[in-house]
Amino acid sequence: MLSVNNINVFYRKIQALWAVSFDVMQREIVVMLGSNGAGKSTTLNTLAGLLHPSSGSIRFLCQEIQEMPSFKIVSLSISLVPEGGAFFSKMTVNENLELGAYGRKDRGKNIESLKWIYEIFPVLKLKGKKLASTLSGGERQMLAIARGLMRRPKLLMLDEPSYGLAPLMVSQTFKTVKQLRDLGTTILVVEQNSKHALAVGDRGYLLENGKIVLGDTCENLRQNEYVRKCYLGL
Amino acid sequence: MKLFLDIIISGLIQGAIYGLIAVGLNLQYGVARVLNVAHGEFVMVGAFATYIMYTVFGINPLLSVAFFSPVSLIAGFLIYKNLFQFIRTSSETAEMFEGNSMLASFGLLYVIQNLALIWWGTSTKAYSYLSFSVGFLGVAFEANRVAALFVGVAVMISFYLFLRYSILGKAIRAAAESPVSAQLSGIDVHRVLGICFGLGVMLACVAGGLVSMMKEITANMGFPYLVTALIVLVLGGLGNIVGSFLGGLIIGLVTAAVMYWQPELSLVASYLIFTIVLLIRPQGIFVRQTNGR
Ligand SMILES: Nc1ncnc2c1ncn2[C@@H]1O[C@H](COP(=O)(O)OP(=O)(O)OP(=O)(O)O)[C@@H](O)[C@H]1O
Ligand SMILES: [Mg+2]
Repeated sequence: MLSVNNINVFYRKIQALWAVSFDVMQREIVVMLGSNGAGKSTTLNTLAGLLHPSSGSIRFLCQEIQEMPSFKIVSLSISLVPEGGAFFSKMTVNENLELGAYGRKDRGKNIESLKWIYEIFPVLKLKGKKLASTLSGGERQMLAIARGLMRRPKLLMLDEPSYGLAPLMVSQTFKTVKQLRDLGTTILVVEQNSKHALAVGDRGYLLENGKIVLGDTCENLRQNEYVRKCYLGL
Repeated sequence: MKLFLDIIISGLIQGAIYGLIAVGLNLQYGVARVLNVAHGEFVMVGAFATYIMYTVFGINPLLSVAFFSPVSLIAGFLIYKNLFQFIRTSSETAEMFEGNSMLASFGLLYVIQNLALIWWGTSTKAYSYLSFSVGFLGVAFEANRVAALFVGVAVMISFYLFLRYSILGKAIRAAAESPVSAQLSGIDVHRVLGICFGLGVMLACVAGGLVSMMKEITANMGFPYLVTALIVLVLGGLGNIVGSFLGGLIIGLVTAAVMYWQPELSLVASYLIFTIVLLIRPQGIFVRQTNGR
């Protein structure tokens, strides 16, 4: 479904990603692990079109997308929920959700998505008329994910969805990720919370200093000596 | 009492014009981050265009204003797309873009102003339209001024509703708050910012058309309007559209009051308000404080 081939990404003169390659198949949960500054956010932002690789290619459903601006990539039904979430704090929850489907003409589909989202996140229905700035941290994270889901994306990318959440909320978030996959969404999730991520993921990659150093099924990764020592602290 | 009403209504008329111009500048600077110093020149262009339509073709100024609105919107959009978007993509940081785009708008200012000077010279022009007087709240006013007030307020209200309820208005607010999040929601931010710039030009032209109904116009009338708009922008808060309109009304009222007692001091009074606001509430007087965030 998504195939990343040898991308090199720079911030001006500083190289952040070095020949990164990986794949995501339909209906998979792929996790990408890495410590601070490894290049996880850079990877997702490049896939979303906020950054462009200086070389290499990104194919999504038989289309090369590495040069596309991000609003076009969004319309191909790739959604990114960036680090800290993307939402508009001066707007109401409902307005945020409406903007998540910006540009889609089919009103029936919007109402359908909204219903679906309210089922997954009932809180958002209750707080629809509130300003997003009045939500709690966990509710904001839900709103950010929900906004990304409004278009019913084929590929949902989550950048550290558990960051800053209480332990209970973390398990809740990963449960939601699993639920979304079961409903047919393909998910690429970047995490520092390796234990949880490896428990829900199908396959995983390790990113270190801008390079992919290992890729395997999550099951194998959980057994891997190096992963156990450096990522799971066992 | 009559004097009081006279000042209030004159102030509101003037204030509505200031408000329109300031809202336009707010869309350009508060949302699109282009500090367009040529903004006042578009007021002048709107005034002269309306003047020519009336004196040469006999077309009703209010009709001209309605006709020039979409034209100026498109012109502004094209200016953004061909000039400022180019500067935006070639500037490495937001600060660099603000600096470069302001310099570019200085260029725009000189081009427009010199063309106007070549065309019309320094002479003042005026025409009379709806110049009979009408009683308004018990005070006699020239009908054209009352019409300008109503049109100004109507434009502002429709503009407010547009921003609040239309999907494009929501996209504009989203792009103003966070361009990156807006992109990720599928909003073509360059297009939306271009529309904001175009709407700014449109509001300036509308204001210019209304001014031409009431006052003498000259090729260099634009700059004072830019200065007033900047003062109003600070007063109402950057990015705060309602604040800009209310700020415009306040400056209009103050100017009208000072005008009555000491005409030479009216600009001084505006500056004084500006300085005081900058000192005590640099975020603007209509910006609500959100607890610590
Ligand atoms: N805007 C930027 N300008 C310059 N360098 C940057 C920028 N953003 C990130 N970098 C650099 O790129 C590298 C990768 O950063 P990135 O944000 O992708 O890391 P990350 O894996 O997401 O880390 P974290 O877990 O802390 O979010 C880091 O060395 C960082 O210093
Ligand atoms: Mg990151």
